[in-house]
Amino acid sequence: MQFAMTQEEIFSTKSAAILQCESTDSFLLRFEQDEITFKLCDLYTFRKRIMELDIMELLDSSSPDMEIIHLPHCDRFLVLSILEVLEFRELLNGTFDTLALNSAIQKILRKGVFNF
Amino acid sequence: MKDILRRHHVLKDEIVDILNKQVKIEAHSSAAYLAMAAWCDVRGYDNCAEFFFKQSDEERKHQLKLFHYIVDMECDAISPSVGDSQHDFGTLREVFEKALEMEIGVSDAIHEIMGECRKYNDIATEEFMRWFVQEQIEEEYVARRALELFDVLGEEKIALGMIEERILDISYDED
Repeated sequence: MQFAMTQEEIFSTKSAAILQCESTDSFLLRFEQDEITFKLCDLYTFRKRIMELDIMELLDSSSPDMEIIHLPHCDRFLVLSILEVLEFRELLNGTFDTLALNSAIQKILRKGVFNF
Repeated sequence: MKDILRRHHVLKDEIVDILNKQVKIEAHSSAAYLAMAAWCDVRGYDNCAEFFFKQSDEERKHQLKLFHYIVDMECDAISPSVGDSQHDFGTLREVFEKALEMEIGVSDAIHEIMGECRKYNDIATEEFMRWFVQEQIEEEYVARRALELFDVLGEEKIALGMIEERILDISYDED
């Protein structure tokens, strides 16, 4: 219960959300009743992997238009459709933009720490 | 809300990208110097070969210095792939021409990083990069002086012998 209270939603889309866990300095991805924990460096790796996917290639391909993403930090796989890939892009862009905004706000607030 | 981004990913993405690009440039330079050393060594220019082996080591040290900085800032350092280096040269002078050209290219890249640091107000990285700016002044000076030996002594066999004798004595003195 105490752990749940330390989570704050950073950004959400129709079927996915990313939460920040204050007590563990980590992030929680909620996606279709599933939860995956990321450290910041793993979240960066995940974002890079999602952004590198070539959507046009997925659309053109004669093979099934699904993408398998390996998450080495937890040794799991995500199988994503094109729509889900696009949703994850929105989710991760929104998450990192929100984190950057929070960082900018915290920087301003930190000035108050030494406001003698 | 806790600022995890600032706590665990100190540098901006743009700075990480350009530092990783520099890691690759330094790795390529190290490999290129190795190729120059090999060319000199098999043709009997032992001191010139030693000069380039040392240069190769220097570039490798620069690469690692940058690499350690990126990981110390808890950002993703990318171990670079290195492409083919030039192994064929017409003359000894051409080898040193290439060396100077490469050092100028490295200096330009370092200055570009300084520009990006100023653009993103990254004072810490700018301070870290000052060492590289200074180092490049030295590297370019040494490469230029080496090339000037050819201007002074010429490229006859006896002149090449004299260059061999003098090449390891070139050093940069700030005073």
